[in-house]
Amino acid sequence: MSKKTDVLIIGGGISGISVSRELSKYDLDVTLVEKEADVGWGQTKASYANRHPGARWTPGTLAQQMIAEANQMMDQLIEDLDIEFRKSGELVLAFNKEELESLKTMKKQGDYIKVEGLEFIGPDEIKRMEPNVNSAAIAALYMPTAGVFNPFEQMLALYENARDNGVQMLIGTEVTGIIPENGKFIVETNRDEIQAGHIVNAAGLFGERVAKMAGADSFKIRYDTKSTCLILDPLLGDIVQHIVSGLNDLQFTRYKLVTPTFDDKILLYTTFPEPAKGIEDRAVEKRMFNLTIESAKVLVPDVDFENNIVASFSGLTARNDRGDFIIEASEKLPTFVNVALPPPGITCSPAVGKRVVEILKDNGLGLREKTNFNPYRKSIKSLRGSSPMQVRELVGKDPGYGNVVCRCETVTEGEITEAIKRGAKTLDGVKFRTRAGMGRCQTNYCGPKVTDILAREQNQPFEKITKKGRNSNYINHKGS
Amino acid sequence: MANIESIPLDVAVVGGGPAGIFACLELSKSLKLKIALFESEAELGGMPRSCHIFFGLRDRKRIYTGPAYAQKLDSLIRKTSVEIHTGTTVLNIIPGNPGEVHRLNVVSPEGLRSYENRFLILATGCFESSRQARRIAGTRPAGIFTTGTLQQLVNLRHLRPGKRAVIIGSEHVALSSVLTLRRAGVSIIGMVEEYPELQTYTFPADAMKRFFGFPIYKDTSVKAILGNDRVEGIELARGKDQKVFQLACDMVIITGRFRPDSSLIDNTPIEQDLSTLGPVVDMNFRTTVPNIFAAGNVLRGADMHDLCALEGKLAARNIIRVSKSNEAGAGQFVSIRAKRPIRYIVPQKIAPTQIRKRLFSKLFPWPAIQVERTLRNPVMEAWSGKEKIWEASFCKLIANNRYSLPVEKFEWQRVDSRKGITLEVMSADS
Repeated sequence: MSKKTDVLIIGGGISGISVSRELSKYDLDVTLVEKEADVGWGQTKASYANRHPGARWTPGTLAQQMIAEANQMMDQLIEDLDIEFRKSGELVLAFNKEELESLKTMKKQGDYIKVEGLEFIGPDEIKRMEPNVNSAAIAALYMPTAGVFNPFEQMLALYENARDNGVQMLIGTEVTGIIPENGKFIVETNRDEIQAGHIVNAAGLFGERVAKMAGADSFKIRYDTKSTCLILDPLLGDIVQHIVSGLNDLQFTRYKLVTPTFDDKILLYTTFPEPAKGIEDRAVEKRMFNLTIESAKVLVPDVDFENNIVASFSGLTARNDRGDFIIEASEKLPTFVNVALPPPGITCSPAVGKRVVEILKDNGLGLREKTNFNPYRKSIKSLRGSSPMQVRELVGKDPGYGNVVCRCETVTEGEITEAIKRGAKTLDGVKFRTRAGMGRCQTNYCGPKVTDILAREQNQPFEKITKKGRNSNYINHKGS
Repeated sequence: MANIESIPLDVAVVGGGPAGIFACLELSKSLKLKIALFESEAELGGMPRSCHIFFGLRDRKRIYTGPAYAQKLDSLIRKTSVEIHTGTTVLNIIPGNPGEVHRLNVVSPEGLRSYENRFLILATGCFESSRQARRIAGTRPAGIFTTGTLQQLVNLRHLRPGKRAVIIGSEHVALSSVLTLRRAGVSIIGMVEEYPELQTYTFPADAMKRFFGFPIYKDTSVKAILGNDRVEGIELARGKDQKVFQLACDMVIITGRFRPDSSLIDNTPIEQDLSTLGPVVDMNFRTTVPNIFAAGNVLRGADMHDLCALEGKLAARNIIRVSKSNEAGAGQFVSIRAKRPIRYIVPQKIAPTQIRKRLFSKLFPWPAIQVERTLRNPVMEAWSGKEKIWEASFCKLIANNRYSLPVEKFEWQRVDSRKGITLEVMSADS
């Protein structure tokens, strides 16, 4: 069986989903394929989710241009799509004269795209704003417009809204071959064949592979930097109120960060050169724990990070051989658009969506705006953070909101069933939508209960429920 | 949450495990008190519900299986006038100022309710540290469980979660893991202990090892968990030369290193002990906020259910005493803290005047200490400022075992109460 579509987006990460949402504004048949059991399971879910003002990037790069454009669009998007965002501001620390020079360069770079409120501050002011920061810092660049997203929410908001506006989301569909034919494409997948007029390659770490399938490769993805995030127990308190970061080289191959998260935890992040053991190498190695903590201690010393880790994750970041964003139609196949974004994909996703649509239009895609496009989406209502009156209303409508399933994060059955209605099929899918299992005990209490609910809502036996699709069954009833 | 009406109570007990239930049973002997018990699970009983080893020795003076013990507690409490709220989660506690009531907000499928309580007992228990908290490296596949999760699956749902398991850790609970796995028909590929010594009694561990035929790898650390979708194995490094080897398995059971489930005291003025992560209490189970008490494993993870039950009972007796006498003063307390490798001292505040009143026994060590790893021939000392006030040597202190701290032997006249007391292990062979 074969399916026809005007635009096929390959890859359900933040960039592919942003493109799909932008395209859903037009009268088109749009299809998105994602090989995993849910969207955003590549680099997106492991993002440190900062909103960058753009001062770190060099004027003239596509990356900086996209960040600048996206920051103009973001506030509207946050409102329309009910996205969690915390405008925390950021302090970039300098520890010596050389780094101070880099800060000055950063400020100039920021001024170039008119970042608001950039300001140098001295050690006393740093101490006042962030008492726990390393007192060896001689200066900081304060960037008040920086902030933190909930990376899952931002991605899922765009996803749900695009789907509501008619984009076909084919989850668990992996592209195995692409045959160009008269400017169009026949795309083979592990499921049905798809005939596509245009293709947007947003396959992230797999971008080079997908481009090669069509013979539209003009870049190389580098698999040589690995990032690690450690999430800390909120017990440590507000170690920092602002994002506190160090300087980095242009390619972000070395970067250190201590940042608050959307859910009042603290996140430590580092990235460093690391020979890859495969594209999907997501193992957190022992020395990464140590390296991440060491780099965090450069920024914020004297905190017992070691004994307060709640979660840890790692993964490769898709950098490319050009060292900038790649958003372009293939020279050989103009109806094939490559999107290859090194960080910060989350920050600039809305602008990338818009840019891709312009490129598609320039290469023959007819665009007619829909009259019935719905720009709004509401987030899943949660018990946590609701007022007593809201809780009454929630539980009144759905008694499941009175049944707390995840004790660490106070997530109720009501939220979990709503997440399943919105597309969660796995334990991780529920986790990213509701936070169930993100707390101190890391699903050890709620895992079996969430599995019960998934089984019940999807009318499947317990043993069929997976952690993250494929053969990741929560229990291995078949054995091996 | 001030804009919903509050229900008045004399005592609210949070947590329907052994500590909470025994507190209620004791409190209900005082007919004047209005008492309510809140339990987030649908059934009472707490941890024993999903555990099947021996229960009830010191508190019920006979032996039960876990579920039978939980049922017994359930039937006992249902004979009393205590209001029982199962399936009800306490969202937060808002301590009142001295002399005022403490507010408790709870939610259940019936809705949101608020209680105003003269007294509170926290008995929320504990849980095992996650793989993440223990910084165990590797991938994040399905098939990594704690003993608690394993027991939920095997004993409450009657499922076999895998075929071949490796057990990490050798505390008492690891032995419970062995029994649970064997009960579900899971092969045990090995037990891995980071330290050179077992963290439990040698005799039962060796007996199980021989009976079920699995190796125990001591002095062995986990290098990585392997497998992408499902656990495929585990990479270990053994001994001084850190010889690396792998074991194939489809499950990794992470055992022990319990910590209190004390999130209700976060963001409250109730002082937390950073070594136990539970609330600081005095010898009468009082937290640092008047009329809020804590008992059982919320004080420190984890101790035997029967000791928790006795703690609940004693906390309740103190509440009855305080409620009758309107006794306000908490007495003169001296703070006591421990240095590693001593894991904790509970209670953390000791009233020298109350010491002689108590009869110390091995059955109920109080004040109690635990060490974080098994120590051979340790010498322990207590200091107050620059004064040594006590010293003792031991043959062996087993990790995860509760030992009585003989505070009656301390030279209290030399204690400077402002400086408190520090307990240290000065030397040990391992």
